[in-house]
Amino acid sequence: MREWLIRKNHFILCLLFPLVFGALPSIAQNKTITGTLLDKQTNEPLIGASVVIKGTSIGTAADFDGKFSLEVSDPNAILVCRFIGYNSLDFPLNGATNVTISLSPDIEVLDEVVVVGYGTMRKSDLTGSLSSVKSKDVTAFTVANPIQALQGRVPGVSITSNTGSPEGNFSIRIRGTNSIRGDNTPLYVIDGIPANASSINNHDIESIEVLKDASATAIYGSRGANGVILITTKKGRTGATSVDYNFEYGIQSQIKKVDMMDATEYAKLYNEQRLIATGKEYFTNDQVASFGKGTDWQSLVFKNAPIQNHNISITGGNEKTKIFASGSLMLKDGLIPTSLYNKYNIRSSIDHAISNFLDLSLIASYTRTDKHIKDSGGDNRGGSIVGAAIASPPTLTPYNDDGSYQDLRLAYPFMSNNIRNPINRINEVSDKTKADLSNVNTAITWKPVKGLSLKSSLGIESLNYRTDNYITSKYLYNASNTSVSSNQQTTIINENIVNYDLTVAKSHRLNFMGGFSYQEYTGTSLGASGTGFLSDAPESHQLGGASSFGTPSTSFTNWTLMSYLGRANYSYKGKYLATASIRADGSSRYSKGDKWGYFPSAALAWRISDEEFLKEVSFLSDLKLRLGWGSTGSTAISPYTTMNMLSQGKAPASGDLYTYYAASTTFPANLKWETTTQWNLGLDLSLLNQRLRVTADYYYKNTTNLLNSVSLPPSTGYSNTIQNIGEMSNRGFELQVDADLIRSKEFLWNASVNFAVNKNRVEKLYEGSDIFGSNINLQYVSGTINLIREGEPLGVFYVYTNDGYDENGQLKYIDFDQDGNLTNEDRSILGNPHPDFTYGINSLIQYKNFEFSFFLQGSQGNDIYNVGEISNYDYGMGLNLKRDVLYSHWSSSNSAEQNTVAKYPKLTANQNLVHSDRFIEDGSYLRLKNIAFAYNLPVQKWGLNRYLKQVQIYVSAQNILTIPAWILKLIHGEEVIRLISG
Amino acid sequence: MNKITSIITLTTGILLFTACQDWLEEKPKAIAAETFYNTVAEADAAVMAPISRLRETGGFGRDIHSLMECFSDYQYGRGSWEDGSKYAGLNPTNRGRTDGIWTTFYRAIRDCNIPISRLSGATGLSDTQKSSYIGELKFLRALSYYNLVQFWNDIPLRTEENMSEWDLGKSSAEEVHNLIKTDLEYAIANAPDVPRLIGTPGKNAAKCLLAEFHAYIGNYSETERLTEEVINSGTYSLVTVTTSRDFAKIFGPDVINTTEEIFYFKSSRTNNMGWEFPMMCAHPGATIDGKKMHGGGGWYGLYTTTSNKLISEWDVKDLRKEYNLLHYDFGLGDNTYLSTKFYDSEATGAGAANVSNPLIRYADILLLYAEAATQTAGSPTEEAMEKLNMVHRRAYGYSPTTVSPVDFKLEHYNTKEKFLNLLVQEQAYENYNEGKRWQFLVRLGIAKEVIKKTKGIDIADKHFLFPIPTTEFDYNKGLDPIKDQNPGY
Repeated sequence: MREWLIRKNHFILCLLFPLVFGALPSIAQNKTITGTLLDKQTNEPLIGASVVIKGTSIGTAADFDGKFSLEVSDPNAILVCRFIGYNSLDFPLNGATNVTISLSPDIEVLDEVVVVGYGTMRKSDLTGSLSSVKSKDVTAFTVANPIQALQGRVPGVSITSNTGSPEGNFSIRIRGTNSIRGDNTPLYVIDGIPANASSINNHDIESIEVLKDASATAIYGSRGANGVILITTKKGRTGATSVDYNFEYGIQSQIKKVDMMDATEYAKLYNEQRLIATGKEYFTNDQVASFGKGTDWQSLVFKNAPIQNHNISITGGNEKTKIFASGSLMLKDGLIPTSLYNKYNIRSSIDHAISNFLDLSLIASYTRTDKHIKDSGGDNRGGSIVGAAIASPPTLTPYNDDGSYQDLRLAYPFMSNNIRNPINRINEVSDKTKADLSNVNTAITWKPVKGLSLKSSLGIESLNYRTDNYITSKYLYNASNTSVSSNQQTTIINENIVNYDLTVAKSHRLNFMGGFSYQEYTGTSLGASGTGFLSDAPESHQLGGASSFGTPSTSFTNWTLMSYLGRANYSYKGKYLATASIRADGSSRYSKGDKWGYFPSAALAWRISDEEFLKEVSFLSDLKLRLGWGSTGSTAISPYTTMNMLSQGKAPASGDLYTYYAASTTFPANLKWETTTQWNLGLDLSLLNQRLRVTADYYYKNTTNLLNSVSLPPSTGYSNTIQNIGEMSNRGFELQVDADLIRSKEFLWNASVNFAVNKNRVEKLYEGSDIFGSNINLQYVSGTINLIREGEPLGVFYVYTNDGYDENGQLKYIDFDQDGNLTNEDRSILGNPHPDFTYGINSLIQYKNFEFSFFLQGSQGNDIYNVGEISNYDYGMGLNLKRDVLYSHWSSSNSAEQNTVAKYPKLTANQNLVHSDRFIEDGSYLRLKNIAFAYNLPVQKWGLNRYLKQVQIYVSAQNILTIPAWILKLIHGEEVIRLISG
Repeated sequence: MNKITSIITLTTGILLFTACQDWLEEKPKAIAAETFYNTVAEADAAVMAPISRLRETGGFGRDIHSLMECFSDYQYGRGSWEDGSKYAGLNPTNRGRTDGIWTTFYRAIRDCNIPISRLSGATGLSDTQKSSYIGELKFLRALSYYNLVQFWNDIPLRTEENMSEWDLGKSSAEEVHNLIKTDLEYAIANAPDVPRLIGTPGKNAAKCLLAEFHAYIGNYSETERLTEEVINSGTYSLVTVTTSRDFAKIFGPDVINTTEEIFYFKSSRTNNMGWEFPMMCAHPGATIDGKKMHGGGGWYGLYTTTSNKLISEWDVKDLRKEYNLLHYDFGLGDNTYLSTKFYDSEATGAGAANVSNPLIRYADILLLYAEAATQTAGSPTEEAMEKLNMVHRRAYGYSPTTVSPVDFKLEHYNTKEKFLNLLVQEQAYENYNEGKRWQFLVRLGIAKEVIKKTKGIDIADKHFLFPIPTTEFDYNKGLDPIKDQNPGY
């Protein structure tokens, strides 16, 4: 069931008219005109369309069959026919008494209005690079956070899911990575106010605009460097009140399991391993024969999880007041049992014209989130739920014979100390968060004279959440304990903007905008914990009953941002366009003297298709060339980083605890803004009456004063400091092609392709020397993998070169400088995590009442360093390994040929492991992200269109096919298990 | 409403906002380093900082003791600690641990250096107070460097003078020794006679550490002098026991202080601030007196067996044997024993055992005196034998100060060699599982011989020094990864 719409009943109105006028035939020479209003393309009746006699206020509305009846005095009167979504039409009667009027749908492509920073603009007047995603694409399938709906839809925007947790943690990049330290997340602006995107249900979104180039984002100054995503929510509109209801239900499942050994294979492998380690096998032949398949831990830990989404919204209004209200409910279970993410959301928006000069708008929304999280991160040697699901020995069961949990660490003397029973962890550890997010936006717009508007808006976002962790007494690894934390985060933003539109001599259109903005964030927290409870019944709600307590903690953070902004737009006949803007941002986070940054931009555009020499070309609907330049900034550091604050803690003495104060392990420094300057050259092309639309952009971005954490040698006592270390560039090309391949009365086929190439390069490091990434330390291998080097892309893999096995079946590496040692001189750049290009393909086919669509998304050329694969070289800890380890490893009983092609080395416990190219894999993929089949019930034919405008039933599947399918990608196809020691 | 009025209103509004530039000033609700280190309370808090650091997992909390015990002649490592007992140098796992030990010590040194430099200018402290606190801090710094130099030999020498010099090359071991000596002499002169708290350093702790240091560099007469001072001060005495369980009064959980305690790292039940090392020794299924050995389970990373001579020859009448060893079969055979010196059935997690870490204990000083007196005299003295006997008597349940039937007779051990062999054996039983054995054997120069005799393994030369962490070479331009690394790595 997709939608159903109720229409107000106009039946009574239509009857009255004929009755009244029918009784007085001699008053005037009135004639009764009857007619039908239809959609020009589909011939569907336009229920409720208005028909008014031009120049009068006499009119009526069409009924359920599109029919109307009207008394006119002048047989040559003109009827003005209007209906939302259609071009209005002046229809001259010319003496007719029975008419059929067809209204054509408003294609709205050229005169479409899009939201830009601090205002709206006609799409045709855009000088910057902007992509728009409409409501239909945003609601194609349920997502925890509406930003995820952008994946694959916009060239240059890449979204990757990081873990499989139900709240959908993901990272998003627009046009590559600009900052090492900053989180590279674009700015989210909802209805003009920077806010948190997760508070919205995707059905409340009217459109999402992605601002990519600097001339569009510079107006956001210090936060525009990573791109800006503008979300516009649905508002009320004049016309009949309509109610929409959406319901979706789906099942999520783990697509592909990791191919681990079963119980018999496990026993065989460890017998060989123990033979090498201790000289004798561990399992007897009888035991090996009796094991069978054993426990399939992955199927115990990952189960199919349902997801459902309900959304109801009411829209309505008249000329003075427009109202929108919606409520939604999303219930999403996680793949790990007992994990879930539920979101309840209420939103309302009121637009009211207080007088002819004054408009008031108020948007209020409240979201309640309820999360039960099971840790979906990885920890070393089976220390987390996901790690243990893979590594637990299949010869063991989660429970002992007496029903108690089995402590897997004790099963075998060679078992890793770190392995956890995943079922014990799932059932006995709970982590629940309840969050209340309220957003209130209010704005007053004053229009004293024509063209001038002054808008003052106030936005308040208040997030309060409380997290309760409880570990029961049945947990094998700790006594029962609880920790509770409560956080309050308040953001206040006030913006005051003046806009002035003026047209000079008909062909010169100007717009000036100026303003001031102030934003402040305050965050506080409170935490308490206790250990040792008599009973698990109260869970975390009777902290006083603990036998020992942790030290309670509180914290405080505050930052402010003050800005001045201004912009001017000029358009000559819509043919020559120019924009210029400037923003000055002051941030409290930077050192005194460096708090202010200035971010200008300028752009030009030329609508070549309006020139005389191209005007007559019939197949060319639109051709526009754009050139823009701008400078944006990035707040890449946390508050107080430039100050030398002491951290405190407790240490025991005399049987009690005493406070200590010590310097933090990050050495403070004076820091400046990171600034990104960008050039963009773009082309918008539209052919064949807009059946084919092409947008292409070429850009070059340069980020200077990059902030990064620079490691200090441990002998300093500090671990790192933050410095402005260098410059980085991103250059690339984006292409979007949209085509109505077939467009006829009954059949529509629309396809779109987007394609993006981005080349990232570290231009300069102020010290000149390489900067190593963080140390990836697992118990059995340690070292850095990523490298920042001048002239190379950021984060390339700088590793050793593996050279097969030596005569003892151990891994060996090439010692390039032949000095007998494996040092940094023997490392080289052997992998690049950035893709060569990314792309998406969308196809929508509509035939009569049927609809079929699919959406493919892909990335090509990105290498991944498969940290998880290294765990398959960790022998002697009793952990389960990939099946391949048993069937393809170096062995002294193999032939030399077999050993050369063996995938794994000899099963000795101490492997000669360093980070090498052995673990670099091609991460390219093509994924069928969504495939859907829908059917619109023929409500009109069945005569139900009195009550229902549309009912659509559809079936869809997400992420069901990935080419090529990589073994270690589990949930949603993109997660790679990263086993990192805690 | 006309245009002019609206423009004026707007401009005024903007000008008003422009005035508020100081809205951008950060006012964190925390303490800035520039204003700290001035009062007594602040100095107290400053001393607790390196103590907290040294208690961490990567310091004396777990890794140092565990590695030292893996290297001892009477115990073996299991699981990921197994490799240490092979004496072939460090595998990657153990290297990760020694890297952590390096980092922990240097952080503690920094946490000493900062207040050492700032306290001299403290506004709220008298000169004696300043020196007293600096004395405590110098003791902690010397303790860190003493361990660093034993494990790594030549190391970067960081004091309050060169704190911000990031690229510091290595100093020779002799230069480090000099700093240790001057720091401890300062501490002896200035640290409190009686420690401010149970767990903060005092004069006697400094004397004992300096005594051991002098023995380390072969300066036995100084050792003899210092240990004699401490013994004769009468501040400390051995705790008497009558049964093996009585040793819990000295080493067990919830002990706040004893007369043997010279410098310990303490614990508390609050906030689960315990000692992590007991978790290494415990097994989740082991019980002592009917209660779980460790409330948080146990990693049983250390164990011993009766096939080890020291264990099989340990006299059952020695109360220490029953207290220290628990027979437990965890899958490696039925002759395995867990080390139960430290345990806590009430512990609520791995790091929560409320047991103190007996870094410097009176019994150690008695044995150290015995060793030093013998070395200076060239042969065992009466006094030396008496001190050894004090420890021995207590172990059998007798009063340490009166002659007992189990006394060693000087005439049976009348040469330096015989006496020292006896001492080496007594030290094993007295300091069993206290993380002191390996450094003791290395100091006496008998490590290779003892390990060969007891375990049958030849210690690789590279095993005696730890490798300097690669992260140190990566970021410290004053060090060369080829030339400055310890041999064998």
